[in-house]
Amino acid sequence: MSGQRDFMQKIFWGASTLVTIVYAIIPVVWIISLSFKRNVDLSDNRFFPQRITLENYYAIFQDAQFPAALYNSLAIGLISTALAVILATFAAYAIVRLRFPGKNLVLASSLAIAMFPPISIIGPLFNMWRTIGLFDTWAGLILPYMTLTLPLAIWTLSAFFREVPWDLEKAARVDGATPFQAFRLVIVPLAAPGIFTAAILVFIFAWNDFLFAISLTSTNNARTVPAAIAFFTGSSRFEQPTGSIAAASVVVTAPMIALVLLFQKRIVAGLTAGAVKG
Amino acid sequence: MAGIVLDHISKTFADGTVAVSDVSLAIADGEFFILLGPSGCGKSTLLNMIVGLETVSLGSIKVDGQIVNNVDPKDRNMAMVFQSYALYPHMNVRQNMEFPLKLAGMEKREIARKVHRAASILELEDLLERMPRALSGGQRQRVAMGRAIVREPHAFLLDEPLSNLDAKLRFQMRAEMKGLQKKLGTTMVYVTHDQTEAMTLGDRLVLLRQGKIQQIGTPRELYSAPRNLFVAGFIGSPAMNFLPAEVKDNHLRLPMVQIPLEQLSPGEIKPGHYIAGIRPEHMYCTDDGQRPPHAFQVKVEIIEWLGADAYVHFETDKGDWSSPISPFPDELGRKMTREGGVAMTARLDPSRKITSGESLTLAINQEKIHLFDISSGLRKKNVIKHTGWA
Ligand SMILES: Nc1ncnc2c1ncn2[C@@H]1O[C@H](COP(=O)(O)OP(=O)(O)OP(=O)(O)O)[C@@H](O)[C@H]1O
Ligand SMILES: [Mg+2]
Repeated sequence: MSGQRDFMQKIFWGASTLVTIVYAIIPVVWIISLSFKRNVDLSDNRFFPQRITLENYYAIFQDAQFPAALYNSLAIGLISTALAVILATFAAYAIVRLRFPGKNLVLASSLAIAMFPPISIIGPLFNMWRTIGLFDTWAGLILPYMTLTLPLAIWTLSAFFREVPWDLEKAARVDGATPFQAFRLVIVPLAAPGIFTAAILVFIFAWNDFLFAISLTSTNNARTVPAAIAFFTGSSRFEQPTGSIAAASVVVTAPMIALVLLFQKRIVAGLTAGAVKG
Repeated sequence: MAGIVLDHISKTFADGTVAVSDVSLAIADGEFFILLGPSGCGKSTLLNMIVGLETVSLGSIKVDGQIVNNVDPKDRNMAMVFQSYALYPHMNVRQNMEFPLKLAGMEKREIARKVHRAASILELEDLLERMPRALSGGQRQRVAMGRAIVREPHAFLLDEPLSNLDAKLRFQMRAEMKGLQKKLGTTMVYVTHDQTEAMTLGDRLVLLRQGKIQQIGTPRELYSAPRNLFVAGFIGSPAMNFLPAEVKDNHLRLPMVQIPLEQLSPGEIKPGHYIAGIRPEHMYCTDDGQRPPHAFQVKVEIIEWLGADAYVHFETDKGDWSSPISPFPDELGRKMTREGGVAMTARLDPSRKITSGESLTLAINQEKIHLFDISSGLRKKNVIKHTGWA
C-alpha cells in the first residue's frame, strides 16, 4: 500500500521535474542549435542542424565590434561587481552590527532605489552623462549598475551577517584583533557564501543589461555584448543575422553558466556549523 | 598575572536597563574567583566590562593598579572563554589556537612551540587538524580553553564555560579546570549560575542579584554565615527552609516547636518577629527511645531517595500565633498554606526506611538555626552560635 504510494509520489515528482527542465532548456538548446547551423539552413524548420558548422562563430569574431564588446562587458561587469560587493559588505555589516541613528532609513531608502523602474531614469541619465562627459564610457555604465544592484547586495549580505554569531567577533577582539582585523579575518570569511551570492547577482545584472547599455553608449568604447548584438548586420542586405546572434548569445551565456557552476560549491551553507554549540 | 580591582562599577545600557550597580570587589593575583547569581543578574555584563567588550558607565576597573577603563580589549591581554565557545568555524583546531599568537605578531617557531605545549596540557594533540564542527562538546570546550591558555594572559575570564555539557562531562571538566588553574597559577574569573559549581571551584565568590552584590566571601562563609535571606536561599541544595518565627518570653517560637533562647546563643535577641532559616541537612530523625526535648512530629508527604541522601518533604503546623509575614514573599521560594503551615524539606539518613504518609519525629540542630530581620532580610549576626565563622 505504502510502497505503491511512494511509487506514485516518485512518478509525480519525477514527471514535474522533467517538465520543468525541458521547458527551461528548450530555448537554450534551440539557440545553440541555431548557432551551429549554416546560414542557408536557418529556416529549414528542423530542430537540429543538418550539418554542424562554426561559420557563425568565425563571423562574429571576425567583426571588430564583438570582441570589443566582450571585453567591455567583462571589464564593466567585474568592476561593477567588485565595487558593489565591497560597498555592500561594509554597509550590511554596519546595518547588522552597529547602532546608529537613521539605520532603518538607510535600509528603507536602499530598497526604494531598487523599486525604481530603470526606464524612468534613462532619459535624465542620458542628458546628464552627455553634459559631464560620462556618455559612452565604462564609468557611465559602472555607476548605474553599481547603484542599482547595491540594495540587493546589501539585503543579501545583511541576511548572511545576521547569521554570524556575534560571540565570534567578540572572541577575536579579546584575542587581540582590531575591529577591522576581526571583520576581515573572522566575519568576512564566514559571510563568504553571502558575498559570492551577492557578487553573482550583481554580475548577472551588469552582464545581461540591455537598457542602459543601448542608451548610454554609442561606440565600441563602452558598448557591451547585449547592445552590440543589436547592431549585428547580416552579410548581405537580404540576410537576417540570426546565426550570428545565436552564436553571440551562446558565447555570452557560457561564462555565466560556468560561473554559477563554479561558485555553487562556495554557496553551500553550513560553513558556520560548529562555531557555537548547536 | 594580575590582580583585578573593581571600584564602584555601574553599567546602564542605552535602553536604560541597569545591569550592574555599584559593584566593588578586589580579585587577588592568582585567585579562582567566581561571579555567581541567577539569570539576568549582570554576571556576563560584569565580565564583559572587565575584558573591555562593554564600556563602564560609572566607576573604574584597575588591573595591577592601572586603570583600564579606556583600554581596548585587544590590549588588555586577557583571555576569554565564551559559553558558546566561539571557536572560529573556518579554522581548524591548530589555527584557532594560533590565532591570538599570530595577531600578537609572534614568530612562527615560537607559535608552534606554544600551541604544542597548550595542546599537550589539554590533551588535544590528536585533534589539531580537525575542524570545530567535527568535535564533541567537551572537545570544543577544551579547544576554547586551549585558545585561552596559549597566550599566557594576565587573567582568564570564563562565561559559563561548562553549561553546555552533560552532567558527567561537566563534573569531569570541573575537576580539570580547577587543576589547570592551580597548575598555571593565573587569575581566573569564572561566571556561573550553578551554586554547586561555584562552591566546588571557587577560592572566593561573589553572589549578585539584580546587579548588586549580596555577599563576597569563601564558599564556606556564604554557606555558614549568609548575609541575608537571598544568600541563604541561593546557596545550598536543597535550599534552606524558611519559617516564620517569634522571640517571646525567652523562647524562639517556630510553627512546630518552641526552643528556649539560651540554647541558641549567649547573645541578646530582642523580642519580636523574625524569619528563621534551617538547612535541610540540619534536621535529623530521632528514634522514639531517645527523643530530645524539642523534637516535633511531622507527616511525610513526599520522599525522594537518592542513594546517599533522602529528602523528606513535609508541612509544618500552623503554630498558635500569627506572623506579620504571612504569606511569605514569593522570592523566598517557600510557600505557606492558607492555614499558615509551611512546606519544608529535611535531608535525612537514607539508611532508615521512610515511606510517604509515615509519621516521623524530627529534631533541629539548634545552633544551626539562622534568624533574619523581617524587613531588611539581614541575618542577625550575633544571634547564632556558629562554628567556622572564617
Ligand atoms: N545590550 C543590552 N541592552 C540592554 N539590556 C541588556 C543588554 N545586555 C544585557 N542586558 C540586560 O542586563 C541584565 C544583565 O544581563 P547579563 O547578560 O549580564 O545577565 P547574566 O547574569 O549574564 O545572565 P545569564 O545567566 O542569563 O547569562 C539583563 O537584565 C539583561 O536583559
Ligand atoms: Mg550571561
